[in-house]
Amino acid sequence: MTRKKRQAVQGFLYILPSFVLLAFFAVVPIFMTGYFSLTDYNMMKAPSFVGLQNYAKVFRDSYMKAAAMNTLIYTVVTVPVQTICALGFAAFFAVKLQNHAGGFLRSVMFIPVIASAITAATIWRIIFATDGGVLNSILGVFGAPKVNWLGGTSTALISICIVAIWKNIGYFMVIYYAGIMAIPKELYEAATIDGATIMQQFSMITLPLLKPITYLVVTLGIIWSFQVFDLSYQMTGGGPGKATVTLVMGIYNTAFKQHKMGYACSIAILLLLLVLVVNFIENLFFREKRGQK
Amino acid sequence: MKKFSKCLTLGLAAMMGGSLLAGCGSSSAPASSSAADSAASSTEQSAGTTAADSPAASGDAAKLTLWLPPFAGTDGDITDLDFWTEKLKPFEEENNCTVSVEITPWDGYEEKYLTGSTSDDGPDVGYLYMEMFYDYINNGLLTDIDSYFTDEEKKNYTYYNLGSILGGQYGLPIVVGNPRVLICNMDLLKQAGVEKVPSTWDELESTGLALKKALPDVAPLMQDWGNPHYGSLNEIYWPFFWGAGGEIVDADGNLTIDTDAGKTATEYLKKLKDEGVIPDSATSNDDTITSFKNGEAAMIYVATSNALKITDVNWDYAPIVQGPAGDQSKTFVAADSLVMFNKCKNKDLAAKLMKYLTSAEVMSDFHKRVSQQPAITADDTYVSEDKFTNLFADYSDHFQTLPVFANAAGMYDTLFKNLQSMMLGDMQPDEVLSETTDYYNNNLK
Repeated sequence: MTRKKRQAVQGFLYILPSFVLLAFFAVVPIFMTGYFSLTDYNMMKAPSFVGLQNYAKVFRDSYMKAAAMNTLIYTVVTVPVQTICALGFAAFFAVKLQNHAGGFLRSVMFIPVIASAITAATIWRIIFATDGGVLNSILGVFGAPKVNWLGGTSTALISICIVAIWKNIGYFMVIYYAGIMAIPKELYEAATIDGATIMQQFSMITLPLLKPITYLVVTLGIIWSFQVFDLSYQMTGGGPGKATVTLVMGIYNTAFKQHKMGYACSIAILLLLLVLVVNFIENLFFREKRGQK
Repeated sequence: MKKFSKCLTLGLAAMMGGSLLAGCGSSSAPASSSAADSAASSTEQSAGTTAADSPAASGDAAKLTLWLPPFAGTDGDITDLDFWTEKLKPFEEENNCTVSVEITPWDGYEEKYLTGSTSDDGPDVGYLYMEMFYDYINNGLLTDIDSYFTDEEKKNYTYYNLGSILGGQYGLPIVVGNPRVLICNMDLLKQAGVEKVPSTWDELESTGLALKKALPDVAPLMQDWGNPHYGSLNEIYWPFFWGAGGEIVDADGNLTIDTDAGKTATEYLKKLKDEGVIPDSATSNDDTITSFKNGEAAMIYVATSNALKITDVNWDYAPIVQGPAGDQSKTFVAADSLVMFNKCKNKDLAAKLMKYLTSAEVMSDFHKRVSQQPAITADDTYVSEDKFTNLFADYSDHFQTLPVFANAAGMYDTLFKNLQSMMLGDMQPDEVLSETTDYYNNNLK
């Protein structure tokens, strides 16, 4: 065996454990899901092949249409807001609060990230409660009427978006903060000498140099948004009506409550394709922007 | 040295790969041990009676896995697990066996049973409610237990026939009762000029309106439309539906909610909501008992066992609030059963366990210390003198269990969500019933 070949074999052996892990717990399940999506399967009996019937049914299913629409609204609301807020907080901490207080506040902002989603949802249920809820009590002090936060069609999904933004913002803020701190100080010094204002420095130096990080933040944000389940499951159970049903909740209910695993798998595969398409479009957008730079 | 490091690294990599494959192949371990391991690792239980840690486990003692739901209140004197552990000890000693008991929380109950029973990690003896039966029977997961009971034993069970489902005796009723009744805060009713508990739909409406006028800060009739689980229908919809004379399915299992009776009941509920008898906040309420205890609600529908836990409010109740069906009006009553799963390897012992659990000796203590329910056997009696002492004798004809039909849980979930939409003004009563029926027939049946 030549030295080159030996090295190749060694390299292969080094990655073998990770590869086996990945294959067993990520790749194989995707293929199994793909297979089950073509079957009528309820977990209690052997699956029977039904072709593309499940896929055709998804597009006629009013419950899944509502779930898709809610997930889209949730994504459109949470991703931009949490990205902009995280960037704003990171810039503020990097410019104005480079001290112990800043460190403390950054840690405080990270607490929601490490808190369990179920705990967070339970606490926010109390905050959003119509009668005796913290938020309505505060609003009451200013004479505002009670708002049925989690029980209203128009407010329930927005309430969940607020909790999601609150929970995610600390994570993205830390990523942005690290990115801002990595930008060479000389660039800002040179800009200051040239007479650039703080806002000009932010838009001409900080933002362009943070593009790779923004790409990461937006990508993660979109993927997490498409996967949203725990918050709406715990806070509203998908209600009132179908107001907060999400795609993943639809998959869960279809599989475990209606015992239609084959159909649930077809929705899961469509969700996977949707995430891939959105990611592809986003990649094109950012690549083009990088090319323009 | 360099060569040695390479060899070491490769060796470690091979070990990791090997142990990974070995781990993946461990599913061939005996089912009984995996059940015991699963039970032992459960966060819900920590019994000293698991097969794994019992001294008897090292011998030839038979092992059974038992899954039960929680009944004890969080502020109760004893937990469910402690109670069953204590009660199962004599059974284990007498039969030289170990019973691994696991308390399965209501949250995610159906999911836990589905995944457990289909992955060989489920119980030998479990506890199912009516909505769950169809698929388990239809897919051959449950055992017909009729042959394990003598005629004399069957006669002793007051509700034995309720476990006769889809042509077989698949359940042994263990909790039959907890009818949903209307309870009223009599102090609040008196402030509104009402002296007695409403017993008809008209009286319920007029009492609600009187309460709304006299006590604007109190919810006249609170309902938990904000509950994430469709189980709330047992309190907030079925008593009205059956009060109007509705039937959920016909003899062939066809959904029959979209009928005149269904419309009457659904329209009545919407009317109560539109009039403010049911407040707007009901759509986010998920705990009517707390609202009632705090004096924020004057009337609620509630399970009798939960009503008895309300001790600080001067309340009275109406067993049945008659609707257009008159004296044929009914209310929901639970009929939950013990079941034996087909995968059970020691069915005789499992049947013995089912008999022991439902015996007067165990049940009377259970009703006394954990959850107050009516007796299920002729040789047992209702344990306490309270407001419901005569309820079961006087009104048993007015109690209705849920029917068993295909994908019942899916139908209830769809109906619940559509009714929620109606309570928010997004759907009309006839739309709720027709859309639920269409969705059930096209997607769920």
